Amino acid sequence: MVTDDILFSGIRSLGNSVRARKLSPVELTEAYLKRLETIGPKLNAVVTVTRELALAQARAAEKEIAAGKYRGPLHGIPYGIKDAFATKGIATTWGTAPYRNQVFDYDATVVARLAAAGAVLLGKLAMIELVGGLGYNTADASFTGPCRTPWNPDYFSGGSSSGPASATSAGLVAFSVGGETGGSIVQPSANCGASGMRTTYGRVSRHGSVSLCWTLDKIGPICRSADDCGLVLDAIAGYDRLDPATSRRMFRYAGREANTKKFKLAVVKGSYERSQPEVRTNFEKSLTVLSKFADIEHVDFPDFPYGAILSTILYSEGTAAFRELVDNGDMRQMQNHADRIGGYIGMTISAVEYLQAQRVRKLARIAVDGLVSKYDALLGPTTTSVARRIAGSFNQTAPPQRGAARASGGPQAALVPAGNIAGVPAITVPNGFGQNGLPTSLQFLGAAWSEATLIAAANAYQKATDWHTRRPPVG
Amino acid sequence: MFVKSQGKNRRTFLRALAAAPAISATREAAAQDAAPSPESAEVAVRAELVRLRFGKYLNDDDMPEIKRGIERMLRNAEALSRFKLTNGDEPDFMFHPGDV
Repeated sequence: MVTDDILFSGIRSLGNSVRARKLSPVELTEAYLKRLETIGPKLNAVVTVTRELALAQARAAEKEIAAGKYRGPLHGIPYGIKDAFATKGIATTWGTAPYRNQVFDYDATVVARLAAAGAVLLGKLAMIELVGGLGYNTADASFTGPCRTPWNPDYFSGGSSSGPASATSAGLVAFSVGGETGGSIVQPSANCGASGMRTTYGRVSRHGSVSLCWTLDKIGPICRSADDCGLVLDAIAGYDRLDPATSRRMFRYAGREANTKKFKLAVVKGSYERSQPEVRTNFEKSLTVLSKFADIEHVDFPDFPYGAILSTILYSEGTAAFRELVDNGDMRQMQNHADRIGGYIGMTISAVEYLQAQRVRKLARIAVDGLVSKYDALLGPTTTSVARRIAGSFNQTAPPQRGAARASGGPQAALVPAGNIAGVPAITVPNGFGQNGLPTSLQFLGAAWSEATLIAAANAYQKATDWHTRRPPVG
Repeated sequence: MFVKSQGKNRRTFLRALAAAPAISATREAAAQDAAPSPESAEVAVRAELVRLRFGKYLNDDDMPEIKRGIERMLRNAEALSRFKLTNGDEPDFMFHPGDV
C-alpha cells in the first residue's frame, strides 16, 4: 500500500525506492491520481488529469526498471505541469476560456525532457489566465476558479503557477513545473509552503510554453524541498535549439551532500523590517539558523524603480503577445475584469516608453548583478505577508502591512521584481507559519547561473529545519 | 457597449489631441494654478484612442478603470524618464544575464 508518508516523502526518497523496486511506479501513480482527482477539485488546482497517459508512462517505467534500464532519479516519478506548457494531443488552456479547447501536436521541450527522464505526467495544473500578465486583481482570475492554498482553503494559492504550488504542497503530485515572469513561481510557492525555484533567464527552454514576455519569461521547478528542485532542474535545464534564449552553460546537480563550504550571505536592508510581524519574526529566526553555517552581512539594495520597469515591460510585451485577443475582442472572455481591459491599457504604452524601460532595466540589471555577484545569495522574505483571502479584490484583501515594498500584483518584497528584471535565479523555501495557519517563506537570490549554490544554501537550511516536511491539513 | 458614433468619437479624440500640446507647454503654470494636471489630459487623450479603436468591445463601465490603468502607466513612464541616460545606453534586448 502506498501511504501518505510515501506520497509526501519527496523525489529522492521515492526515486530510491523505485530504483530498488520496493515501490511500483504504477501503484505510486495510482495513489497520486486518486489524490489529484479527489482533492485537486477542492483546491481548484487541476485543469486536466492525464490518467491514461500517466498509467501508460508508469507501466513503461516499471517495465524498463525491471529490465535494468534505470534512467535516473525521476524515473517512474509522477508530476504535474502548469497548463501553460504544450502537451501533444492534450488540451493546453493557458488558464482562460478563449483557449480552453486548444490542442498542440507537439510537447514543450520541458515536457519532452521529463518524459526522457522517465517522469510520469499526471495532469495539467491550474494557472492564472494568460499567466497573469494583464493586471488580474482577484483570486478567481482563471476559468477553473480560485486556486486555494492547502493550508487554509479560504486563502489564495497565489499565481500564476497556482496549481503547481497548491498541488505539490498538498501531495497531489511528487513535483511540478511552473513559469515566472514577475513572481509566478516564488510567490505561489511561498503561499503554499512549497520549495520553488525561478531559474536564470535562458537556463530552461521556454519552447512550447505560453509567451507573456519574451525578455522576462523563465521556467522552474516547484517541489517539496530544495534537493528535489536540484533533481528536477538537472533534467530540464540546458540548451535547446528551439529557444534562442537558452544558454549552453551546463547545470548538473551534484546532490544534497556536495557542498560543505561556509556560505557568504547578505540580508537586504528594508526587505523584511516592515513585513507582517510573523513574517519578520520567522525571517529573523531563519537568520539565526543560517548563521550556523554562513557569514551574514547586511547590504543596501540598488535603488531603481523596479515596479515601473517591470510593469511597463510586462504590459507592453504581454499586450503584444496576446494582440490577437485585443484586436478580435476575445479579451472579453477573460474571467477577471482587470484582465478583460488590461490589453487595452497596454496598447497605449508608446514604443519610446517601452524602450526607456528597457534602457533603465539594463542599468538596474548591472547594478543588481554587481551586488549579488559578491555573495552566494541575498536573503529576504519571499513575500512580506502570508497569503490573502480568496474573496474580494486584492485591494480589499491585502493583509495589513507597514509600508513594505510592494510590486505589481501582490505584497512581494523588492527582491522579486528586481530579480526578475535582472533575470537572475532565486529559490524560496518555507520558514514557518503566520496568520491563519498560513506558511511564511525565505528567499535566496543569487547571481546569474548560480542555481547550484542557491540550492546548496537552501539544502543547508532545510537540513537544519523541518518546515518543508510539514503537511497541510487536506486529504 | 458604447453607443457613440465613430464620427463623434473621432471628433472628441481630435479635440483632446489638439488640447494636449498647449497643456504640456504650460505644465508648470497649470500645476501652480491647480488646474487639471497635464497627466489628466494625456490620460484623456490615450483613453480616447482606446475608445476609438476598441470601443465596440468595451462597456461603459470599463472606461474609468482603463483611465486609471493609463494613469498608472504614465506614472511609470514619468518615473523612468527621470533616469538620466546617455546616448550610448542601449535597451536590454541583447539580454545576457550575468554580463556586466
